[in-house]
Amino acid sequence: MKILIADDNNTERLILSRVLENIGHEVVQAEDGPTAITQFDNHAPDLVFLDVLMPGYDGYEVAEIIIKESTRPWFPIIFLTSLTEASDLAKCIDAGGDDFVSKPINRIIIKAKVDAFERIINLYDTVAEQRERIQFHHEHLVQEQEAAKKIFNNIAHRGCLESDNIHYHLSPMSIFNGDLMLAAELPMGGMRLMLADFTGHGLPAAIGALPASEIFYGMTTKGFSIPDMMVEMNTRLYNVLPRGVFCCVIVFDIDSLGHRLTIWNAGAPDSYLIDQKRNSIQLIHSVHLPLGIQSPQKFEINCSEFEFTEHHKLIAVTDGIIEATDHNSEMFGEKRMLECIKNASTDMSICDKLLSEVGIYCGELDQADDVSILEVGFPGKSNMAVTSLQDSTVTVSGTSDSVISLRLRGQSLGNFDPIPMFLQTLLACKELMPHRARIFTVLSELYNNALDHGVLSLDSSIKNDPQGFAKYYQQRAQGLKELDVGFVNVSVDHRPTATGGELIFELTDSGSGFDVEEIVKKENQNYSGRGLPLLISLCDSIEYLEDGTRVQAIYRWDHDDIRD
Amino acid sequence: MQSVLDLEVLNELVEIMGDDMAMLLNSYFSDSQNKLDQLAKMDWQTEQETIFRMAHALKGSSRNLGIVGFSDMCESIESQARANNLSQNDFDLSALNQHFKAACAELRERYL
Repeated sequence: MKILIADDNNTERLILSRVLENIGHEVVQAEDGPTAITQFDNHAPDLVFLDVLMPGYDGYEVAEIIIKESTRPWFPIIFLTSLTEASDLAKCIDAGGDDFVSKPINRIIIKAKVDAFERIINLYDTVAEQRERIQFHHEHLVQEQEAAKKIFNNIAHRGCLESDNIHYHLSPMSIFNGDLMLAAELPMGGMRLMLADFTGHGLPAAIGALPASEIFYGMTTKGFSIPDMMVEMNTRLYNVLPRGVFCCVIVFDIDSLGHRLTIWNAGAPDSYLIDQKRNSIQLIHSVHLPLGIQSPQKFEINCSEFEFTEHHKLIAVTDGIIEATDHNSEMFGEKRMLECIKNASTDMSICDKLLSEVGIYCGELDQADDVSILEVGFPGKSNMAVTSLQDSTVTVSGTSDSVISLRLRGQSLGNFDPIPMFLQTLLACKELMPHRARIFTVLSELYNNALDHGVLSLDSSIKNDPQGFAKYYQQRAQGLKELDVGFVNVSVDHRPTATGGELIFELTDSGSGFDVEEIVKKENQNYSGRGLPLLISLCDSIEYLEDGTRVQAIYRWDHDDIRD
Repeated sequence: MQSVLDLEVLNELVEIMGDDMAMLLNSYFSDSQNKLDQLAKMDWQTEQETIFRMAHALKGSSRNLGIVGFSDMCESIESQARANNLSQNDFDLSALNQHFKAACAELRERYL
């Protein structure tokens, strides 16, 4: 070590120097206070011996200056003193000294003290070095997280979360506490939303967000149903997630044409379906294990269906809000949450109300980072306008002159949803992209009518109240399960015309048909039926043949339809 | 003749200083002589603060060299002067000089 000795007494300074040199240290000497400070600046010693009584500045003053000038977090100073009174010795420590040795100099004590200080200095250096290293790694980590966040946010983007009917709270770093909120418009209007909570924190929790988002946006735009999408998502997560990491999820479609909520809760806290007109709240419980746990062979999904209108709201949360704790580590809990939702007034969003309540509950413990809340109202009537799409990458005119036809029989009617397949194939013709919402709607309405009212003979008027709504979909699921005969034949004939093209949809079903005229008359007063008025408004012509077991609808499109 | 030195201290000092023992002694002789000369010019009544510092320094260096009697005298002057309580009787310069000379003589004889 390099040691500075400041002592005006030559004899003592010489002896101490020699003692220190003899045990291998480098010594710098000063014979008064000002010289001590100059030597300190010039030589940057590791340790200083200071005589208390010196001309110029005394030892106390020198100590003060040295401590002020030193750039180290700690600089060791040992006072040399022949003073023996306790108050004099205490003053050495008060002045910033770390120890004192009394004169005359005893080489054994000097060596012991210097050795002890050397160990402390080394410890300090190690700590400083490690601190620097930790700081470096920390900065590196923050940079990486920032970069990762950008990538994640591009893939797991928020979709249409900013729509007017949605209020939500999600921390900017939510991706790293495993929360994910996605929203996309459904091809036939309405919305699909998903709130997911991956176990764990940091990058491991975020990794599953990538495949989940990709599948969500990819399959939603292509018109896949929630069960199809969740089967795919579970399979992917089951394969990619490490053991112990899984994903609680709540996913739902709001069909704005059918005023229907299709919802599935897998491992997430209860969701709340609020009917503001009837002033009732229905809890939607988890009905399945979280994603990523069950093997694809065992995975089975049954959605629940509810009526959803302008008077309804849905609240979905992750466990962050329920597990938020107050000063006594007591959780906010589901009871308080339900109470808060019940008492919510209409002039404030329930999301904001919940946030402020949980904020008050937790006091200054800021836990908002872990809280994700999604509040969704009715999205309004779907926009069926012909829209131009910027992101179409499909090649020109792929299927502009083609016939696609498919016949589904028996169990396949329940197990396979043909709409996405038809849509995908048709959209290989780039010119149809602006018409996708209309085509999707026409096709799915026609198909669902053929299946529900044709093959399964369900009565759409059951759906006129909430209980009936659930009953209808129960009957439908039951019917599909028991189906072993019956068929639906779908054929789409796409032909070019002088100015664009025409799509001729033709569906035949094995049902017993219906009285077309009467249904059309009834449906003009009621929206939850077969959607015939909508079909009529979208298509150029629609014709029921063979007692309503066969329908032919023509949809014409024109190159000039695309308007911004 | 009885020694005025603590030989145990000095033996250790020789071990510490090695070849520099002579340099240390010569430096001590001239520093101390200097201080004694200055003390001789002091007014014991009005300059007790300075006398305290001088005696303190003399005591310190002498004790390191094992000069027992002389350093004890210095210490007594130091403590009286520090308390501003020095009497003419305490401030016996001729006794001080005598002890110093005896110590120097013996040091020279033994170590130079």
